[in-house]
Amino acid sequence: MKSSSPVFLGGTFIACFILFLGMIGAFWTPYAPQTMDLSHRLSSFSSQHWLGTDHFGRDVLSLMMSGLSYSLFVAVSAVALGGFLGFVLAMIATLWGRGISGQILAAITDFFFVFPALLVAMLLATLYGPSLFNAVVAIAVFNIPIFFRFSRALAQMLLARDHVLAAQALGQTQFGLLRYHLLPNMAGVLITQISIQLAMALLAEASLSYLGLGVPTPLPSLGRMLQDAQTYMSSMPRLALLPGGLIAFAVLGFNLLGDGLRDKLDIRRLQTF
Amino acid sequence: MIALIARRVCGFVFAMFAAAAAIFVLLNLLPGDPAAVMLGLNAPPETVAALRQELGLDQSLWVRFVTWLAGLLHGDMGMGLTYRVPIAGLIFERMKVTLPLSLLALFFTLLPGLCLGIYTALRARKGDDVIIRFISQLMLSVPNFWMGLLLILIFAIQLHWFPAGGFAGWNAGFWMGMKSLILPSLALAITQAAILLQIMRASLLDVLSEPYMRTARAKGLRQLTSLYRHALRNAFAPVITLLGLQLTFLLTGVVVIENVFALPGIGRLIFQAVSQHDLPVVQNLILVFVAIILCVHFILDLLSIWIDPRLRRPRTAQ
Repeated sequence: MKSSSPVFLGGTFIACFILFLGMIGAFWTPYAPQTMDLSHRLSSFSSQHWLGTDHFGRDVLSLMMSGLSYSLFVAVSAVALGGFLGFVLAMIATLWGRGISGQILAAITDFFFVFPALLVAMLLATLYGPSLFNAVVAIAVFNIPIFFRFSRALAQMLLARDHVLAAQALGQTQFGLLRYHLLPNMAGVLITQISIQLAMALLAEASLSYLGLGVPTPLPSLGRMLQDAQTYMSSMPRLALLPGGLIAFAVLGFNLLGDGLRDKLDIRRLQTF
Repeated sequence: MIALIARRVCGFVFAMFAAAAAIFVLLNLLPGDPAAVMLGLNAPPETVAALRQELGLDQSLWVRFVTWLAGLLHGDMGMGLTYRVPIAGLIFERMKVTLPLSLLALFFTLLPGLCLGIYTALRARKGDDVIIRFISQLMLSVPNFWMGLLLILIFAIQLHWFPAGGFAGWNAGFWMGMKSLILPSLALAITQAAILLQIMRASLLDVLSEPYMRTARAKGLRQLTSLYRHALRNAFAPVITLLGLQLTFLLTGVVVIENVFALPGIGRLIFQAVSQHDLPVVQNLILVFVAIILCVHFILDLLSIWIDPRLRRPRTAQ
């Protein structure tokens, strides 16, 4: 293991900061994010409102903190759901589905690749209207084939190793192989991939709520803050700069963390995307 | 070779059919009455029933699916509910914006992505490599619609070089049309170019460390010649595979960016159709998007067979 690189340290720092800010935002914000104060609308930075107020007089910092917590909630749930399904299917395909059934599973999950999160979200929104659940499902669907592909490739590689062959020869069950030989060796790669997919999921969530397909209307969201800000682009550019900057910062953090982990564990060759 | 391509074509046709079936099943079998959703909560039951009849929802699933497929094969996608015009014509009209936009974005992705990727791989760990990669790392964290807003802020509001949104139409002249597409295509391309740069650099670095590259240099080939003859072809193979995923992101980016810049393309059309719950338009447009994605994957598939002769051999020989 190499000594900690600046990329890894920077990524860890930013990712922790973002997670921390999001967790605070879920429970406490300086002002209630939905409270409108029309006498103080579009005010600039001040000691009462650190980052100013928007066109309804809502406190921008509170909106951003609360919005970040929703974005993180969607991104984390989507990656957890899609990653879990992709991983479990991959293990079934490699450990129990040698031959044709594994290939069929692979073909089916590959098929999900043609349904980007945005299209699934649009399908669901046409039927049910925008909701948090839609956003989670839409982003999760696209994560299934990503996790399936690389967990399967990794498991197949590990299964050919000597210690796994020895364990098989000694009569280890498939579950035992998974528990004692595959999982411990896959953990690092999985964590790396999760970090990178979290970054992608945050980007996807931002696009969805910018279009009004993600977090539904009364709840604050970074994407929709940008949508609202577009009207005030020439007079109040900071309304667009701040939430967008926060999204970019969060995405940067998880990307750097993923890259840092990848270098640290020296697993770049296993990377599928 | 021909058999291989024939197999891929069959796979492509099957995937198209499966996609159509999946979209149909999702939109028609999920709980929820599309007619009721379209008309809102307070619609009287007679109106809902009338709409159900108009949409053909009173017929059986199989009849509806087969009718839809048969129509598609004739280039007939049915009527939109909001505008009451043939959907196929609507999509064709909107493509005049989306197609040039996507091609322009593709150009702005490939050119800097590939060139800078190769350049940074050759200059690995030198000063300019580090700087370019730092910038690209920043760029690939920026959501494309925020990039769009930033470009509007700088080039439209501050500098007045380009319009902040809207489309002048091709009738106003080629340049007027292009002018409204440059900022959106840049917003789409910058993130993708940054990703492509990283992939290209990593792939070329892998190839450059292979023993056969040392041999090529040792037998007296100049760096450029060895790069051109041996390295690039090998380095492109994994890049092409990942390009498929990237182009998918580019295409969904089009939907978002067209809404940022208020461009009348198919991205804006599908967004409006979703907010108006115009089910026939959404169903057909999503199929169009999926078809484009499948076509792109198909073309890239053929391209990788062309570039990597190992893929041409039958599976047993590997």
